[in-house]
Amino acid sequence: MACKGGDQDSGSGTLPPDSGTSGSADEDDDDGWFPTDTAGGDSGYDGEPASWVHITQEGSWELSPVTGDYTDLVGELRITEWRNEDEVPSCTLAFALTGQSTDQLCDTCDFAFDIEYYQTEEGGETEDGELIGGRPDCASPDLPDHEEVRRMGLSELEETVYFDYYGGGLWLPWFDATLSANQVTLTWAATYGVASEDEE
Amino acid sequence: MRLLFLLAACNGEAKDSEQGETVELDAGSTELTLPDLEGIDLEASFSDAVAIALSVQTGVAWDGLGHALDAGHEGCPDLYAGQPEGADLDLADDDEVSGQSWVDDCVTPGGLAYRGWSWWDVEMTGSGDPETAEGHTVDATRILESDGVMADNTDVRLLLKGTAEESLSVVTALDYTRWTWSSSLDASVTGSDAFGSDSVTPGGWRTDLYIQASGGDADTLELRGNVFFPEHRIADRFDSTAMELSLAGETGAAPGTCTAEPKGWIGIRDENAWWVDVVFLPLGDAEVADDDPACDGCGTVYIRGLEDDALGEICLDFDTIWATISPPDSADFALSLRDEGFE
Repeated sequence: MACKGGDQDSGSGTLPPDSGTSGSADEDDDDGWFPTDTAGGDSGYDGEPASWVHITQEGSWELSPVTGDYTDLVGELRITEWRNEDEVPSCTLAFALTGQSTDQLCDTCDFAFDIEYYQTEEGGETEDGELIGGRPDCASPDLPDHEEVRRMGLSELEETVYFDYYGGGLWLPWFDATLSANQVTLTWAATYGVASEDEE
Repeated sequence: MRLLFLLAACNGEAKDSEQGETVELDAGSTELTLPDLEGIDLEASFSDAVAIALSVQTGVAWDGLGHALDAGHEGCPDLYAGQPEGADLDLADDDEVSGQSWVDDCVTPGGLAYRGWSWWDVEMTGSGDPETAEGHTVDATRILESDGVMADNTDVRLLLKGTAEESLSVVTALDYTRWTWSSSLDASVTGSDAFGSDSVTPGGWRTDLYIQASGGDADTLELRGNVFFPEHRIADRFDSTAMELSLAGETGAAPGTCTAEPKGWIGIRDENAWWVDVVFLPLGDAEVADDDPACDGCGTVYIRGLEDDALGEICLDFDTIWATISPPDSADFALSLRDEGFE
């Protein structure tokens, strides 16, 4: 039974190849397979990031009509980034915002808008002639694209603007926000590590 | 040496060993001991293999990463905008700073240790209104690359090494739903944060599995690749599965073509590295009619390497597989550091 007969064509041409099967290859290498020793040794990962990026995003919404039951929105958003202790920003972007109300809200939102981000500024130059980077130099996660439409809603109680994450139905907290009369003030700031440029 | 004995035994002759000694071919020690499959429910075992393969999804690694980030502490791990320092990424675009990552070798005040790095990126667009004929459309992709581990004093919470990619497109309209989805992993994933006690593979897996499926108005499924589960055993015996399957449901098949049986094969490997395969309709473009006798949901079972000696036929119920396949929720694709930065 264990031997093949003289006819080498078994007629089962669809049989799988006898190679590349899981568990047979690379199992004995030191490629991080189970179990993993999590103790000791210099991993080389314990250093501080070579560079930091400090991000601020600030803006405002002006809602109308001023009497409430808001239907429209105009506003602005300005994104500024600095690397390490640099005084000159590494990147700036500015957007003009226009929005129309939507009845698709997050659970805790008081109202929501479909907001178009129209990019009005990108980078530039300081008074001293130093260059400020534009979009390619920005490290902010989830930057709005030019003319991108985002659904965002305000929870006045939580003082938070939520973002329907790329229309997927999950509302993530996006800006700290305060509502005063028909004005919403937006802020967000964070600091992240960034890979050093010579290794990118 | 063992192969030499086997070949000699097949020819029915005495042969000299490499040392020049004559080997008695009738000796019992030269017999190849085949795996004993007595008492193994092969139909259930192969069905379990398919169920396990369907559970091997990018979302498992993604959710584990999400838990790992939630458990972090300010400064541990260090969070990066863009790609991790010094990592050589396979999936990233070198010309663009994109995605987010963590890199560190640190311990939180609560005793969680992070070591290594992970990088991930999401692209998603959504538009339209599900209450219209055109409907609401979501297209999403997520990619993850990692060589990292998170552990506490007693347990590996997450080990994630390799790459994972997933794409999803969903249209939801007034009178129909359509989705297409693919998941591709080349990774080792384990740890209690990714595999709970209710997981079908609680010890995790190593895999290169590719899944592509569609549903709503056209059911199709492709499974291709390998899965090794170091702690789980199918039928208390099989530690791996490999397969190449292509199947269409009633709504996804061309009229009159077979839907009761897939094209391709499924293999399961026991701990002694014996593979048992079940072979269905031939892979390829040729379609088999639904009234063809070969379209019966049954495949031929072999021990791999001994294809002249079929062990028999087994029949699997592929009609019910469609109820077990559902795409991931597009909302689960979100994984943002928006709230994780240090203000």
